[in-house]
Amino acid sequence: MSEENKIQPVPLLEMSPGKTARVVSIDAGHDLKNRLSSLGVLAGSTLHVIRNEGAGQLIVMIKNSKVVLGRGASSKIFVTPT
Amino acid sequence: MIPQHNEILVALAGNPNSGKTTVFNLLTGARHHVGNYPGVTVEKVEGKRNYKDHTIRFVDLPGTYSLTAYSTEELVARHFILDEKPDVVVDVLDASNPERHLYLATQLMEMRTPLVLAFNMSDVAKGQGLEFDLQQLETLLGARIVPMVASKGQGMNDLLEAILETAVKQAAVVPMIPYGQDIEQELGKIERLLVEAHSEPAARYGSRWVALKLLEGDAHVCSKITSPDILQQVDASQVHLKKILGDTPDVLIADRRYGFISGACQEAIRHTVATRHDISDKIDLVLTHSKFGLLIFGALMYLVFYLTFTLGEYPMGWLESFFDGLGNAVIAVWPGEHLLWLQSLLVDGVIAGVGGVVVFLPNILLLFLGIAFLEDTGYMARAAFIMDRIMHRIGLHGKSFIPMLIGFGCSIPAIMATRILENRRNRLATMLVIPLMSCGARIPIYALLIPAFFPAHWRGPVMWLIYVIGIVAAIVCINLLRKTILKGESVPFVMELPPYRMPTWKGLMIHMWDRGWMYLKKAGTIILGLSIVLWFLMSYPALPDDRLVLLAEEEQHAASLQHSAAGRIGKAMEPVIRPMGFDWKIGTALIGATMAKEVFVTQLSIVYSLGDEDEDEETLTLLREHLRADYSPLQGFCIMLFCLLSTPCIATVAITRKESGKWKWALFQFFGLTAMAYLVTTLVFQIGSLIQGLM
Repeated sequence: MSEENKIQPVPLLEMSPGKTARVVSIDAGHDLKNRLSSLGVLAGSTLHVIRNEGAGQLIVMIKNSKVVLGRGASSKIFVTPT
Repeated sequence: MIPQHNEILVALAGNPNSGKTTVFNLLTGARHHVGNYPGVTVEKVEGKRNYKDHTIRFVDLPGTYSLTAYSTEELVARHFILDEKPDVVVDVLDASNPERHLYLATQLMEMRTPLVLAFNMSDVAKGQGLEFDLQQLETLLGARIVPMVASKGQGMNDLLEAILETAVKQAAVVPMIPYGQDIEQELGKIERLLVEAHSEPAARYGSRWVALKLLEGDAHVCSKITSPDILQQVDASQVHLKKILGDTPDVLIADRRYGFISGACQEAIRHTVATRHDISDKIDLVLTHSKFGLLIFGALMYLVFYLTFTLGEYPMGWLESFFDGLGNAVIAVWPGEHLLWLQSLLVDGVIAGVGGVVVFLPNILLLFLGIAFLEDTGYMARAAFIMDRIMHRIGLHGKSFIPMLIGFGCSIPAIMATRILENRRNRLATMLVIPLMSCGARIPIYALLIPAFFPAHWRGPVMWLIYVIGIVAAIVCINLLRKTILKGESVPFVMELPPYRMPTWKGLMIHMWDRGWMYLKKAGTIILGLSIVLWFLMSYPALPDDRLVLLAEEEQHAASLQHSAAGRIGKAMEPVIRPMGFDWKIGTALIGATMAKEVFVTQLSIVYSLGDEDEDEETLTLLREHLRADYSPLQGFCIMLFCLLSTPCIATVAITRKESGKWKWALFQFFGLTAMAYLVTTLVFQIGSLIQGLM
């Protein structure tokens, strides 16, 4: 695949509801990373955005359950849309 | 080997929302004991059961997703397993979502503890088309698996049988979770050093587990290792793995665990139907909607409060008459005129004090029934989500809204309700400011003072203003606290939205009764003590009889109170409270108000020699006339302001002590709020007087 075709990862925060994305990296400290991975959010996992309304927390579907993520946490999760 | 007749210790682990508590209740019935783990405010619930000549002691560990050192709950659960070495750990899972729930199981496997997996809600799993090859899954995970439907009482005997079998048989072969060659290599290096150094943690908890935790950078385990050689190796391994595998070891290891789970699930679980979560998704579409969701939340909260304070009124009335009757009965059967001080101590101190606490029990039970229902259905997480947008702006978490709202009714259940907040700093901050939400007991004070000083068309707005001042003060204080003594990185918010579920009656009843009993037991003992102290303050030193006989009956009360320690303190306080526009009469009444806010009214009528029948509308009218003669509207407003902001009642102090775990916080709340009330009221009175002077 050529360089131009490679999709740039974007923060989860920018994903609109209804979209599915794959986690590329998580740019966070030890604690948050740990917490996220215990809920199944880690590089390589696929998630589906249910709610993201431009303010307030996001709801995403991951590993068959709904998880609420604060905007702070969502800005640190980088994804590529699938 | 567990010899016959010996006690078997079983720890119950599981994710929040796995139905762990339902399983625990099913196993232990109502015979359980609620305590705290030493040193932390995490609740420890224990229960016993006899099964086939064995006594099994069950300990319900806090619900966690993982066993890292991330939160107090996780540490508590981990330490219980490591240090108490239970004979069996039962991991309760939601069978309809095995891939997520098995994550905790992999960490229990890493700890090499004898494990039984309770596949709860297996009916839901079946409905969703999941088929398990249990035998294969048992081999892959090295643990007995018991399908259950705890809410319907199914699978309990199988579970008990599996527990017994696992406890009695020799340690099973727990499969190792493969982390891949690179990680295994580094683990091996660290393990070797641990064994060579005869490291104490490694000897206790197993060298592989300690090595794994070190590699993950687990703060708690790292702090236990002092050898610089080992720490150096850990560092080198972490850097090496990051370089060749591109991520930190903790994430790599988590990834391998998920890989292991997903492999096991692919082998042993078949999905026969693809659709799922339909109904739950549709409900969520409405309940988490930014507008409808808010409306529904408002309506549900209204319903809970309506039930709490309206339905609660009847049993409250019965309890009140019961304690009144009890007091009167003591007076009636009292033998003659002897030991009247003891009679007064019993009636005015003990019975009135304890009665004042017990009358709130119906409210507490109803409120916690409502909260338990909202929590057990899974709604509370949605409520937190909806409120978060608003609460975030004032620096609070969505869930803080619920205890603060309850605070308008009564601070005591509100402070108990802060348990729904996971973050300790958030919880403490919320707890400390709850008395600022103007509670129901302050209404009699406003009802006395507002009509006394303000014309009819001003009464509504003044009342409104008082409530708003309380809310604003709470928000300001919370922000101050979170920026000063309760400072701490605000943890980025992550929470699971559990699937909707029908709560069980048994679960609801147990939740409700636990809270009620705790309230009676703990608050009751402290409040009893403090009530007696206050009684002494208001009764002693007593007025000599020769002076008492000269006075009319109403004047006797007033004179006695003036002569007592409380009256003297009130008088002595006068110079101090003068800047707020108060005199000794208000001061004395305020001392009484620490017993319960509404006592303020009774105390004032005693000071004005009007008797203590505060219910009487005629007395109130008379009292209002006296007050109008003595004070200005500004002073009246300042009294209300001070009552709103200052010292919470002793029941609140007691419950803050209980819920925060330390006297320090209860005293901080008591003195902090009083100091703030003093400052604010003084400012208002002084500035108000200045403006009045100019007009």
